[in-house]
Amino acid sequence: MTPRAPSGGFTARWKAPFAAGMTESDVARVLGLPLFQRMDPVNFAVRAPLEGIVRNDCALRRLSAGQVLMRQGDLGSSAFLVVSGELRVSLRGILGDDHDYPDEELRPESPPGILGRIWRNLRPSPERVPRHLLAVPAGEAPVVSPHALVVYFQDLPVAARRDEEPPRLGPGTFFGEMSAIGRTPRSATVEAATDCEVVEIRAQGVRDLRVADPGLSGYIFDRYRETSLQRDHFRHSPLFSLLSSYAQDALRAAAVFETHSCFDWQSTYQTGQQDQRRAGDIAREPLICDHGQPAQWLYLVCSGFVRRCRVDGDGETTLGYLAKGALFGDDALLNHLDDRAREYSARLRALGHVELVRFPLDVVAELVAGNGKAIAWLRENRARRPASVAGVGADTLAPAAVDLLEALGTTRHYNGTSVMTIDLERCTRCDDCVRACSQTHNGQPRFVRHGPTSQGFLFPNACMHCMDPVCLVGCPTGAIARDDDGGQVVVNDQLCIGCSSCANTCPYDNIRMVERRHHGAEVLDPGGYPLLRAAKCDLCHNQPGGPACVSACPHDALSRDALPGLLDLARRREGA
Amino acid sequence: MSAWLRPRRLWLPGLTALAIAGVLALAAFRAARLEDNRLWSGWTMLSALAVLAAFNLRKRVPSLPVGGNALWLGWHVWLGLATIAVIHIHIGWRLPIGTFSWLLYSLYWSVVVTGLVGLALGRLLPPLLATIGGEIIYERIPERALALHAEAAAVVEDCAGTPGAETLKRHFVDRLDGELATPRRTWRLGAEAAIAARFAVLARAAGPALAAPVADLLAIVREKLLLDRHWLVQGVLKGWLFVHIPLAVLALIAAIYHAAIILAYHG
Amino acid sequence: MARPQGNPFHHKVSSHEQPMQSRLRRLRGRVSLIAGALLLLVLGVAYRQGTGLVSEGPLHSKHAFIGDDCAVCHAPDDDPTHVRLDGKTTNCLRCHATMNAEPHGDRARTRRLTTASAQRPAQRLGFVAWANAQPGGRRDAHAEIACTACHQEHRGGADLTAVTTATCSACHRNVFPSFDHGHPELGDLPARRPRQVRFDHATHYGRHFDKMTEQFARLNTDQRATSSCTACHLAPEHPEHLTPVVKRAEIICMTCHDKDVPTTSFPLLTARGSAPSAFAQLVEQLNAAGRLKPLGKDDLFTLEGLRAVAGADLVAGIGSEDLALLKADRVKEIAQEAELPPGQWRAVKLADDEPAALNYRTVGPLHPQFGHRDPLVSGWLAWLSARDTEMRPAIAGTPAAGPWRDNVRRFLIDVGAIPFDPAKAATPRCSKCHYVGQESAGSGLGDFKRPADVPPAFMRTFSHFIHARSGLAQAGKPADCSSCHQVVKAAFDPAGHPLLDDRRRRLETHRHAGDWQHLGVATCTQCHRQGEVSQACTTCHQYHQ
Repeated sequence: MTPRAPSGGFTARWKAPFAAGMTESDVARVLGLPLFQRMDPVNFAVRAPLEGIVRNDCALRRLSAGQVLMRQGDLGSSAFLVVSGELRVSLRGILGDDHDYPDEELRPESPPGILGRIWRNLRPSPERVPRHLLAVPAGEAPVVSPHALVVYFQDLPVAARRDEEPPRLGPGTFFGEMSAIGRTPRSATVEAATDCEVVEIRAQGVRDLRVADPGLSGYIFDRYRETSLQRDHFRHSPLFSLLSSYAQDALRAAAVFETHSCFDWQSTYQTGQQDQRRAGDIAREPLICDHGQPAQWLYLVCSGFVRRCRVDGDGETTLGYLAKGALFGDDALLNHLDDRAREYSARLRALGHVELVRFPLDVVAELVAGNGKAIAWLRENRARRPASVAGVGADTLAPAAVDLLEALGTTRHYNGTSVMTIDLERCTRCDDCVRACSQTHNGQPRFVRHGPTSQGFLFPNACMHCMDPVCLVGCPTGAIARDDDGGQVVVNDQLCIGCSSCANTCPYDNIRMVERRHHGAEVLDPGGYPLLRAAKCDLCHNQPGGPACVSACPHDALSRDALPGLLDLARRREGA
Repeated sequence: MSAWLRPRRLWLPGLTALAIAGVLALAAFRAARLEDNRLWSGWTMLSALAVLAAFNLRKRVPSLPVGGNALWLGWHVWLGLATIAVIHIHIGWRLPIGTFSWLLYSLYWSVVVTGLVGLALGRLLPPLLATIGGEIIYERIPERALALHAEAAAVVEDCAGTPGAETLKRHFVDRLDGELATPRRTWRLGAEAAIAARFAVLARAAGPALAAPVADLLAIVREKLLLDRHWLVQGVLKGWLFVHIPLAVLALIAAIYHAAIILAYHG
Repeated sequence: MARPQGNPFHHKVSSHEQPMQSRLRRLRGRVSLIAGALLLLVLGVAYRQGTGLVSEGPLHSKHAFIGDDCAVCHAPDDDPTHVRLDGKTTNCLRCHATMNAEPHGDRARTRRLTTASAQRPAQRLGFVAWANAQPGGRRDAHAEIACTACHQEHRGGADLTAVTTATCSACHRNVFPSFDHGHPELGDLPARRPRQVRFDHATHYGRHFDKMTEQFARLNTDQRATSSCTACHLAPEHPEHLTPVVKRAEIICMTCHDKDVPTTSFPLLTARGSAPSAFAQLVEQLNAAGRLKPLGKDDLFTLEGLRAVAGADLVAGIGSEDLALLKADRVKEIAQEAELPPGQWRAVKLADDEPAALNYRTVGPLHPQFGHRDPLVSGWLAWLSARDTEMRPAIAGTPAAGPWRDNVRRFLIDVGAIPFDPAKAATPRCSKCHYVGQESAGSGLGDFKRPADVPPAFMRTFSHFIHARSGLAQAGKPADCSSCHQVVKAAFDPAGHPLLDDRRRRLETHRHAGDWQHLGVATCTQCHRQGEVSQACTTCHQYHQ
């Protein structure tokens, strides 16, 4: 039920501009930038015209040298376009060199929080870069030697290497979009190397720009072709770096960009929930290329995640995921060079928003043919992988883990950063977890020990604190938001008006509407309906001991982890 | 030993072995000097019992950072095993014969034995539940059973008028009515085959027109079988604590009483 | 506000949704509470009603008479209500006072012994020794051992006296691991109990008895006379006797040795004017030393005087007429020694060249009442021994010592205890078997009486009865003395004997060659060893004297 508008204009696209100081000349200036010049105002909705977007969703920021634009770990909510000057990507901490963050501010905490922090600090966990910020090559992608560790940033069109200068973002660079859309933490700190001007576009604006006009995509791709492809991918790729510059130029020219977007996949997922679960879901993911299909392209992942799977009877088994910087089709390339049938060895599907670059296989083959080193690398790479094309695949995973991976992929649990998993072969159904949650939350447990099961694991309906928390979309008051401290998605009871947007949006049924009580009695609104509020797991973010459910399980059956950690559960069982 | 019964934290048994060796050595040392072992071993036992009982308290404050329940359970089990050595040092390696001493000793052993049994159950029954299949919360089983009963009744009613419906109805009245409404704590070994055979007969009797309802009823009965098994196994998993905890409370009370008596008459 | 159907959260109010109100948990809590309350009630009632639930167990049947009165053992005498945890030693000793609670006889001695052993670190072995060497361990006798340290009551019928070897070794450090491994040699067991007579088994058992077996068989009524041991020893009936009781000498020894104890005449006093008798000279020396009431010159010739010196018993039967004759030196009668009536005093002259004397003729060796032992002779020897014991230390080193010794010797000859010339001892008299006049130095009397027993410290009474009747017979060995006792052929050398004191050693020199083989540990370990008969300390040693 949509609340009634308090005054006219509530339904307008903007209530207040993003930046108050955006003058007319600023607006004109921004509109004059190449990015916006590419866009056709006609394509934009009346409700959200291009000029309106620029005026209300953009801000022209001026930075002096050394000033920080965004900090690693900050939660993204906007994208940036560099107008003039240069920005520097700070690599401190990312490649593990040093750990001092002099700018880190101390946050006031309650006494239990302080005790909790002291306790946690007694055994600090090792510092590492979050996985989703690193394009860690795995599976099909070439294995990079640790000395040449290359860091690909999900939300920056640059790649960094330990032994090189920090990368720079020059005029015309568009960056930060991925973390804005996903509301994920920034992958690096960006500071001004010189005095510069930057246009900041907030997430809603970016979305509208993308949806309305292909201009943004085209701009990004052109930028990619001009700079990123060469500087970041070709230079660091073990295959492409072996090619001559002439070959690389030829490849750049031949490159075709491909986007697969599924921004509202959760609604299709939800409707899919009503039908048979397994059959529908994966098939709804956009197919990039098919197993056994004659290979025409060599794919390079630029952003997002790609699922690599194989056909398994009527369904599909996930073999792995490809991330930024990964290559696919090199096996087919080698076959082609050896005059054998060139077919894709697996099926690729796009997860969420994916951007790919594809190179015509013939062109690549021609360029690689005379290059002994490149061919040698191709052979070496194939040797590193297990032989069977029919897809032993997922070679690093035990069978149970593969199945689990499959299940989690099907249920989109890869989205969660804190998926609650109960090992049913350890769980004695004692309900200590639910009881602990209840005791920690005034007698109101935030989850029920009930949910989809797979491979002897139960995934209760407990908020997973998704990487892409779609529940945040649509909240009228901002009551549901990410906690500054740890990134948990938390509902602020004071601000929640019980509109159920988040509960309706959550694709996993992890948010529940409960009745508000005042001294034990129900509270009714003028219409006679009880006032509700959203209740969901908050990972016990304000408790010193961490999630109560985890510490309450006497049998180590309950765990909360993101996808790679969950596979350890299957491995643990294998070893039991 | 079954892989399921292996200790999960290998350093705990090592620590326990060290502790047992330590108390035995201390007892032998003092015995060689004709010194009394009862006092220190008694206090050790009482302290150990207090720590063991604290496990229940730990569960009531889940948000404190004092180590998870899994760690506490590990301590609980291995400390409990270590007390076997301590109590026997305390009683001089002789079976007690006084009324109260015998009572305390029996309570102690009953707590230890029920605890070990419970531990074994907790390790062996969850995999068994996994083989049963399905997953349902224990408290929801009765209402689910009722729902199944209602479903079956609805199936039977829906096919009223169709030839063969009488057979179904009779079957429902004779068997399903009593079978379905409430969960039963029983495993019913070999029930799958029996059910399949029974429904094969029923299907033949009801006729091809009612194949779908019969199939529905079969699915319902199969689910009821799973429910019964869950009711049994989960009931055991919940029920063993009904023996262990009251006995532990009794043992603790008796131990405190014993300590009070000793203190009153000491010196 | 509508939620899609099928939402597991859709307001299902099961107890699982409200886990704090779980029915099962509440039930469990109530069961625990009720059970606990019941137990407390029961314990409280039992406590109020008496000690039934507090006692650790029933008393031993021998203490059953104490009943429920804890104060008997657990409370001090002056405050019976102040019952304490452990039984008090003083309370035990109320009834068990005859049992010596101090093992070594007295505290001072204990302290000496244990301190001495504590200072011999080389003898400390084993964990027990190490444990007691640590601070607070038992190193001296100051740490009193309560009765309850070793004896545990409240164990029903369990043996109260059962004490383990480990308990003993808390104070008595074992320098050997067990009886059958390293226990020190037992010493000369058969000789521990010094004999009253000089007797060796080697010659008798091996030689003489064989010849006399038939004769002994006639004499012995014991049907088990096949063993020569029972020729002299009563078969071990009484379990208290370490050494089987010897039968009466008259039955055994005199069968062969009657000629060694002929009747003799004992000249007490010679006539006045003739050489004084040994007795007279002894009296004179005693008089000179002031040990007697002052005697006049002729007082010995009066009964009163004699009584004053020797007591009425020893001079009973002496006639005043004889004394008068002696005093007047008018003894005319000459008689052969053999003509004198035994057991009577007579003043006679036995030969021309001998002075007249008051003679006593001893009774023979086969006297129906006294056997070979004349009570008067025994009495006079006792008198002599007493006087000798008095005088010797007093006159040691003085010129009177020599004469006194000589006079004692002459008295012994006079009384017939030793022959005049030992080298030509055709009739060796008492000294053949008794330790009389054997010492060359010191007293001339020698050892006539049975020496005092060596205190058998910690030695439990060995029971021949048990061993003869049950132990050895069951082991398949013949229940015969020779199972353990063997006669050794080699000469016994008393000089190297560890247990004899100097005096005994001097006396034992005269022992005949060979006697019983020393019973050693090896004899006992035939049965007392690992896995067979008990070899615990308390099997042979006892704590309480």
